[in-house]
Amino acid sequence: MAVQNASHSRRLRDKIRIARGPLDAAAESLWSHPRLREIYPEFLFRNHSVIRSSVPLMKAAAEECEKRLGHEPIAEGLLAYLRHHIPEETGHDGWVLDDLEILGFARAEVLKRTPPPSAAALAGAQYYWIRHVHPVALLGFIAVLEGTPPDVPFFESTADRIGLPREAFSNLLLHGKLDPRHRDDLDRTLDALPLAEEHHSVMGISAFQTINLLSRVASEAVQ
Amino acid sequence: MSKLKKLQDAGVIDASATFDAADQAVINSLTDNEITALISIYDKLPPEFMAKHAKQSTAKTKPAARTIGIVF
Repeated sequence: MAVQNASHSRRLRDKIRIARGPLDAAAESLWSHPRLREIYPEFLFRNHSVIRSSVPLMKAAAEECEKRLGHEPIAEGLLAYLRHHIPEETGHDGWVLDDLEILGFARAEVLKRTPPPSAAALAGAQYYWIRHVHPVALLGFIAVLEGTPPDVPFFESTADRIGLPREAFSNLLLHGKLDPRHRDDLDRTLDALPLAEEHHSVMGISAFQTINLLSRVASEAVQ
Repeated sequence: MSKLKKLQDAGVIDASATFDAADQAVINSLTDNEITALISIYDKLPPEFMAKHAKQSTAKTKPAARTIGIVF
């Protein structure tokens, strides 16, 4: 089947699949690291630096969609997806803070710390695409972040292996349960949207950039 | 020039890497802007940016280990 005839979600997922090599390498390096117990709080801090932008990014994209209602066929469906997804993601940054607190890191102290520039670049790039190009770009970002949900048995056994309480893995374990449905919701949304080639292109660029910067955010945690 | 060749010439894809027909089709379906984006960010990426033998690599790697864990 010609690529252009594949479903919208398949086209985006295929692009991510062929480009996600560094992300997989970073994941292997992180979760098999001999000092994972020491590294894990830093990983959580970096995770928080990224996840704190999830809802604000969707709100920014929703605002841009509202401006396009009546002018662009894609705006209504994209806005409906964002309005549905915003409450689903609200408060998840607090889960990471909960995990850090279990490990002895006070919320106030975590929030006082300056986030890594790589995380700012990752989220900041999305603000640029949303505000100055097209809000559909955010779907490339979400497709990467929600595309491989955390494996619950793997992270339970990882917590046991490194001697940390499973409660300090609540963010990963809860997302492991939620994200398969969120991934499927996104795929259904993509397939229902009247996407044009320029939308595919900006989602692809956003996804490639997300793979690049997310790999860097994670890799820095093990350095 | 094919999109695959452009990425090989830019060093984004190793010249010796081989892709099956389906993956070649995905690469050749990328827009010029996507190709430009990949080449633009390449200096920050390791040579394996475009996963060699992507399908085989995916099948061999445990799904759990492929989860970076930074979630949305």
